[in-house]
Amino acid sequence: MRRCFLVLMLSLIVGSSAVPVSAKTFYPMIARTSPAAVQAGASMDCEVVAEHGWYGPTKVLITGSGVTGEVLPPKTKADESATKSRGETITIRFTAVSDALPGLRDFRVMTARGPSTLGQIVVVRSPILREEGVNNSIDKAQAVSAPVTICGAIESNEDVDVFKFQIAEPKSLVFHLHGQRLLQKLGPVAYHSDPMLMLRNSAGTVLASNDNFFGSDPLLSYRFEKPGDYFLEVRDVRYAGYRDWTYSLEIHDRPLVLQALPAVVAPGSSVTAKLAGFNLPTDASFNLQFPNDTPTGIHWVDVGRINGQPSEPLVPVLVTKMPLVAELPANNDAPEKAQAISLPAGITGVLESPDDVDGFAFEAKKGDRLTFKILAQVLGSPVDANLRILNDKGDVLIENDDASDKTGNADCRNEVLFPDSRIADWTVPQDGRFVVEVRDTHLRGGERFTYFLEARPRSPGLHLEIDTDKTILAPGTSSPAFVRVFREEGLTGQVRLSVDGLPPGVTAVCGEVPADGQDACIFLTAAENAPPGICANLRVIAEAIDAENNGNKITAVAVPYQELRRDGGARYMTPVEMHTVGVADVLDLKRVRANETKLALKPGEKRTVQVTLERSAGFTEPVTLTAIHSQHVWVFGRCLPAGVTVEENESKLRLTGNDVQGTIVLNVAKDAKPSPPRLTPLMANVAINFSLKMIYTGDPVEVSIVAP
Amino acid sequence: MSRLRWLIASVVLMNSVAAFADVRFEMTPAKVVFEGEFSQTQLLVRERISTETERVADLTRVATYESSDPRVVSVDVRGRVRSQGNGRAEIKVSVNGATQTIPVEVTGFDRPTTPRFDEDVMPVLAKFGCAAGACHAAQYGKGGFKLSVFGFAPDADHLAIVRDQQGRRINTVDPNQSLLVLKATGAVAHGGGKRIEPGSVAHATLVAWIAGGTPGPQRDPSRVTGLEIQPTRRIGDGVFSQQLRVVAAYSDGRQRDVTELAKFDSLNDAVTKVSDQGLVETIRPGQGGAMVRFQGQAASVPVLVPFGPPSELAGWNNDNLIDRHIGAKFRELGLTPAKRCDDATFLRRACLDVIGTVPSVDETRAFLASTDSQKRQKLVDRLLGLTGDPTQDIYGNAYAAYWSLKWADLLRSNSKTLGDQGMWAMHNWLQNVFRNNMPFDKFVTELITARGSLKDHGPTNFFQAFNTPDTRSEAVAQIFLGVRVQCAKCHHHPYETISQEDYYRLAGYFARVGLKVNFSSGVRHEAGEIVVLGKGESTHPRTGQVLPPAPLHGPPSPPSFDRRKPLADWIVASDNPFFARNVVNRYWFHLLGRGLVDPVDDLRATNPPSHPELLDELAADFRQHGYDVKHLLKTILNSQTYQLDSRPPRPSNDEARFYTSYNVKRIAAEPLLDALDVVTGVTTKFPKLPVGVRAIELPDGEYEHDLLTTFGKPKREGVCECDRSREPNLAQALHITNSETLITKLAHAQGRIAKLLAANTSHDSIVEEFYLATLNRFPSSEERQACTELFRETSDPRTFYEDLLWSLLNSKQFLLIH
Repeated sequence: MRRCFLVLMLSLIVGSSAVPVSAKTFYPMIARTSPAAVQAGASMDCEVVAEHGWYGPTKVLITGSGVTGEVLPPKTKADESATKSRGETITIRFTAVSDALPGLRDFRVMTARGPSTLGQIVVVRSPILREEGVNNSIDKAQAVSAPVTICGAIESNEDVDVFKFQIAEPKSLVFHLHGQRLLQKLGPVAYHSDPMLMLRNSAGTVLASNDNFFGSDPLLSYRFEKPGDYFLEVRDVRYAGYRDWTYSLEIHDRPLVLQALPAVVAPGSSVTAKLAGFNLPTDASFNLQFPNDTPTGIHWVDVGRINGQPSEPLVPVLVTKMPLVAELPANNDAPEKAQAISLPAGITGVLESPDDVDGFAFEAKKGDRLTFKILAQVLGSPVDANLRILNDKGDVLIENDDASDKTGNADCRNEVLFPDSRIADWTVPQDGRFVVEVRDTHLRGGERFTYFLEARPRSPGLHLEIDTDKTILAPGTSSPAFVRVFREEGLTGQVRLSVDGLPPGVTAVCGEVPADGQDACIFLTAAENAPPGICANLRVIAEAIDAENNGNKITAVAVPYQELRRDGGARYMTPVEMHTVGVADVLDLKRVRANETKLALKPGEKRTVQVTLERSAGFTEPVTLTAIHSQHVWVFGRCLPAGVTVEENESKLRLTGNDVQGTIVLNVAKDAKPSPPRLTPLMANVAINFSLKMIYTGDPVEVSIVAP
Repeated sequence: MSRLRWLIASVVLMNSVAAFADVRFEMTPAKVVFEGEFSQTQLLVRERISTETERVADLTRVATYESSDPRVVSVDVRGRVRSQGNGRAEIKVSVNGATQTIPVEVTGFDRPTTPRFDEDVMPVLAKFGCAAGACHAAQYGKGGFKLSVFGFAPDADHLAIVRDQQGRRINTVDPNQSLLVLKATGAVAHGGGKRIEPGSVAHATLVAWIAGGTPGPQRDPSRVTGLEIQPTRRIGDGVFSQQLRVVAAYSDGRQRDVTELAKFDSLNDAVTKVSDQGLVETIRPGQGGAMVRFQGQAASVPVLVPFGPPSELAGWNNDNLIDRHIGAKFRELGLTPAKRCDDATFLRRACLDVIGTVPSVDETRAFLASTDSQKRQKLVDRLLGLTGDPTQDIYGNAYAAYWSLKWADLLRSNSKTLGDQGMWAMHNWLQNVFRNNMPFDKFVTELITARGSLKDHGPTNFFQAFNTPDTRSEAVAQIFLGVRVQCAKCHHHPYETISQEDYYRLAGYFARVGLKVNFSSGVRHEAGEIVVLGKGESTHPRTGQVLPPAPLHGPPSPPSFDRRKPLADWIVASDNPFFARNVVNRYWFHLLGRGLVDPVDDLRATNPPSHPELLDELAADFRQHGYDVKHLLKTILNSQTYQLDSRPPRPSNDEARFYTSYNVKRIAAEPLLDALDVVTGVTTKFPKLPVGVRAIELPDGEYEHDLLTTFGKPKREGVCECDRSREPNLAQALHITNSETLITKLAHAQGRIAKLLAANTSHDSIVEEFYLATLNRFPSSEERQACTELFRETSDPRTFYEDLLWSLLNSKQFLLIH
């Protein structure tokens, strides 16, 4: 028996050292950062934990300016060894310059296995204190002193963190917690915290509480009139907990600005905006002024010091060249009392009180194509807008509550809707007077319920997304990046793609989005001699021709969409700021090759394409071949010409063990129309988990449909 | 004049006294004017006493009656008068040799007319039980003949009578041979037996209707708009009877004696019984009376039988509005209240009733030691957090938790329906409501007009807990108005003036409430959001008619984008007859163990309050103080009525209804478990909640805990107060004596007993602390002595103290709020 045990132990030791890394490669998935904040003007050493290990972290990429990150060397040899293999924790020294703007930043770490998923950290102005020890009750409360940023975690079920502080004289404090927002972009953490704050006096009596203010994150502002000890309790509202549920709780008496009223200004002009928020003097205001050459769009503004104190966070302001029209004080609730406007107009309005409805009347001719677009929540307003257009008889002609972020229709990939409503490219049914009506969906109102309504002729535009937020290559490998185009307000025709920002040694071949399609593929390839460890953030630029307006060129930059795993396993996408291309030292597959590079297909034809893999040494996990990027019923990228499908039953798509030879049978519908060549990736997928996968491709295959 | 009025008894209904000053009785009506063949009216004869009109004896069945001309008018021994032919006559009424006359005039007797189906025929079928749920109005009818309940679907009923079964129920050639008539009069075999007396007005009505060609329901019939019952109230000593007279008012302005057609039921079978002819007979002392129903209208008349001669109530203080009314009832019914309870009892009672918490040993000692004459009032202020001093207002958490628990039960806050997020959102909102003493009208308005995220805004979850317009309107009516409208979903409410149309009009307020998805917390956290839709209607299930929303007994509301707003405005309006009375009644029920209206959520004309004037004035006071619940509680808690001893001066269940003593209650499940924790010093740990969360703070209805389940913690699946069992039962007794829950706590190494022994506390001190912790009083000298003697006999102090504490925890004084 003893002998058996020794053999077993020996085999385990030998086994673990003989196979340095698993043949199945993973990129690191950041699960938590602790502490999750860095103070402006200071550095903070943060432990960053990743699922699937770190494998030689090198470089830290951070969004915005003023914050840098440096991976600290392991403190011990054991740590160093672990970090090179599958160590779960590394330390990153984040440094924020003194004028770094407060708020959330995304970061990712380049490793030998490619760029990690995103992590997040908060830039704060108050000194950072770590939650310490057992602090689950008032009698064990951790003493703190404002201003302070407490970094802790609701690390297990039933966890409650209690902090004690003293008030010596009457004052107002703001308690601002980042918790759920720190999890929004973390790939591995599908179940999120819902933090709650509860303020108690020395007798334990609850004085105030808040659950959700910024999404699921709480914010409390309280005026303390009596000196004494007070207690702040942090918990998940359900008393749930998890090791990755970190938080950053800032307690301070500085002004906290939520919104500028109004938040719209023309370039070259100035507006005195009232400020809404907490710890603000009643007359707090800010002069909004932008130079003539300021690009239109939303700008984030630091309103600076108020009462000698720096304010936070930034407030969004819209810079627009539209003719601005202010809502008049007269009652415009009923259609017959609607305020007259002429198009185009950029209307600044306020839903002053509950049940307020604002109507704006305009004349239009049959066949006019018009767009009405609300900007409210993107400008910090609480308005959840509802838009309606009525004819002169009061009949509702069209209505929108919640737009997708792209076309104004609820048909986008994730079915995510946004409260800023939009009626795009509406065709006027007859000559006459019409009323566009704005209300809050919940019929709320008040000073902060401001909105900006664009009312104008349609203006063709372009929105595009790139799936995903990172592309991982190894020397000699290729991977596809799918781009999906949303044509807005009447834009038609082809869309050309280009990229910039590629790291050295990586090249791109860009497909085109055909006039009758939405998707295209960009083939990214690392040269055989591409140095492992390099990375860069990629930009994808689209270009289309606006045939309606003298062939004007329309360009747009793709928004990267990060893939997330939801509870239940579905792949879900959320917008992020960077798409990183990185070269790893090794990946599971070295090559994907097809026996054809040009396929001229005929309607009704079936064509078999041979696909050959080259596996990395020791990699015997299953590989799935495909020509369409999808999960379950959801298609995320499809570059085959219309009418061409993959005949799954006749193909050999699943390659297991050491199998490297597969087939993809393409079936062309009998009624398929001729199509020019489209650059199609024939892909090999290696599953990472139930919803995520690594995608490899060979060279682009030109697939076309020719007349029979 | 196009309308036929042959059956209408147009009666002079003035209750004027007959113009004979020297007689000893008076009659109603003073004069009878009949129009038509089957006109009838009920005479009332009563003693004539100038002062206490409610106490006058009813002589209707004592008097003798004689018609001066039976060809014009007949009268029976019950004082029932019926037209017999055109002309003038007199009814002579004699009582013990004294005689008075009532003039009678009959016209239109010879004009042939046909009874109306909905106004004349259906009331007959309803009165005699044909259209009752137990007979032909059963779900599938009886014997292939189906009628609607009480005739509330006249079109269908007409078809059933006239057309069904190839029209076999009607014989227009010989109406008396109609199956409808033959069965009802028992002339042929009938499962329901003989229902209608041959030759009666009811019989004649059916025959005349058939002879007239069985006309159907009118398109726009005049409706009965109200019932007047005479007398309106009756008090009498001992066993007595009282004939009732019922007059219906119609929407076209007519009035008609419907005593013969109305349905009568007793309000309290133990005190009064009522005949089909409206004769109330008393059985024993108490408050009874009659419920009267006719054509969708319902009313009641209280009949009181004093328990003894009017009492003086020496020392009873009328300063508090409650005591004024309660005292008046004591005097009226000859009741003697219990004495005021002692301080220890008051402390324990008030703490358990207001904050669901037993007072601590230190609190008890301090309160009992205080010589402050205002200490009860000050305790009330402390419990309610009204002192303004944070060092004294320390019960805010318990107050908020306890009342959140009460209301969360009714609002069905449970994770099974709402999910964890929704349940917690609702729980936290309720806590804020009660912590901040939100005015009750605002609370209700916020709840029923709630919009927005289910996880951000707690009250929106009401619309998840009740997810159809029907269930929402039912819940709102029952919880906030104390009106049970559920019956009217399928048919006219049998005991209320609520029709099916009323039901669906009320539901119409919620027909445009919808749900949409909100992504404010990110794509992985989409949440439902309650929104107002632009479309949606409530329709009558039988007619398909779209019914604009209207409050109960009110005209349709003006159009509003959010229909719930006018509903909320109506509910909290100062002239709403239900809202304030319902809320006041509920809080009264929680504190005094029995509602002024009982059951507490069944306010209706046919379920009158025990103290109507008190309920009205308390409701008015609640309104005048801005629907301030703490003001209401303070008023009740500071009343002498609340502070009466629980031992009644006379053991009588009948008297308990009049609050002669404090109604003893079993401690509810959650406060009981908390009390066991406090007494034993061992905290109960609940799943998914940290140590220290008390049972009264539990947010969910889904906690599996033996003691809580046994003692009636509801699952929060209904809207009735009765879902929380308040009754003691054998399982509870067995649980508290034998369950692991208590045994484990008593023996716990960190428990109160272990700590007292570890601290070498003296025997006397331990005994004293046990009594203070459990019963919130010092032990009596006899109790101390008994404990000492028993202690001397034991060789195992620990076991002795466990047994002693176990005994105290099993005592009624601990388990009951008394």
